[in-house]
Amino acid sequence: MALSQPRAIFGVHSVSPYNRTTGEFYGILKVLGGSSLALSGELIELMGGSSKYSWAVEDGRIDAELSLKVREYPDFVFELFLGKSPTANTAEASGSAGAIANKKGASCVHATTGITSVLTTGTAADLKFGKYVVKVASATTLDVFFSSDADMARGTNGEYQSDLLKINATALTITSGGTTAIPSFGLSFNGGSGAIGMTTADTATFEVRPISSKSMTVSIGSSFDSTFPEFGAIIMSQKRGNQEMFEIDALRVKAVGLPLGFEENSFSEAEIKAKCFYDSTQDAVFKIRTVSPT
Amino acid sequence: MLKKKNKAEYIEPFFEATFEVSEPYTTTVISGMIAKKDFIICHNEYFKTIKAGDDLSDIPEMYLQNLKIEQVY
Repeated sequence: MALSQPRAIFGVHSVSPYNRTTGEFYGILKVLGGSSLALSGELIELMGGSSKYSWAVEDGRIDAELSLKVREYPDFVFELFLGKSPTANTAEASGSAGAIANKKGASCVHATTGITSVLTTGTAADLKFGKYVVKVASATTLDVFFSSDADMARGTNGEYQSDLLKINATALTITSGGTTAIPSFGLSFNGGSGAIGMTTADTATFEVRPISSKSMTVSIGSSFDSTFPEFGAIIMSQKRGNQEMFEIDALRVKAVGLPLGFEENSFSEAEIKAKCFYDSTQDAVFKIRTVSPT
Repeated sequence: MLKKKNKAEYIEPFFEATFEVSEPYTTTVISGMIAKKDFIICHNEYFKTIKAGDDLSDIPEMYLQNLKIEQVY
């Protein structure tokens, strides 16, 4: 009988985390730079006397660490690695302007004497992605500032008017019960129901999404609303030329942290360190399956 | 400053204009609705630069409340 073909692992195809309670998958990670399960063990030696060698050796701890190099950011990674489930939005045919909220003072957003809301009236195609700051210029006028020009050319081109990121050339007049457009930005302010009377230098902020097929929002770092769930993960190797496949089912995994890289001219790669630990139900830490299909 | 022959023509309530009659029934001079300071109205398609001393009689009524709050008149 000839020797068998050697068993080998080649590449990585996917990592599929799953819910340990229901068994359902969170999703699949396929844009991977690598995935390795490091099982580094420790040998404890008995030394003493004149012997230059160990009298005895016993096995010590094994550190089961799963390293994932991920180059994609689906919603579930924020839940698993940063402790907060995102809010996913479906397609928005008219874009979205978030609720405006007072930042400094309380006169800018006011039901009767300020602005009541931001509307996506006008040309929705002009909506530009970013965060907006509204600053009261005088009792009935205000200036608008915009966080980044990355999306400034969407629809009608916008343009900064100052180094402080102001986008309106002249302070915009707010009228009682009327709407005031921000030219070229697809947005309008709704004036309060009474005589407008804001306090100069008060500010408010809001966020805008352009017309989109999908979007996501998540706030990370809550002091009371963060949960890092334990999960299972199926790590699948690339299928080899001889069809051989290698699968690891990490039964109980926990990871904390998700690097978000903004590097010049490169895709972000998150290197995630996860700990694999004992699952008492299955009396194992992980399970290996391999197959050589015929 | 406007000069008219018929006093009744000047009664436009929302302007709250004041009247100075130098010679009753003959010559009437209006004062009021004169900008006391510079101001710019920039609202949708409407844009108006007001300079101190400008006559405000052609300002649309919807902006008069703003001008009053801003103490333009």
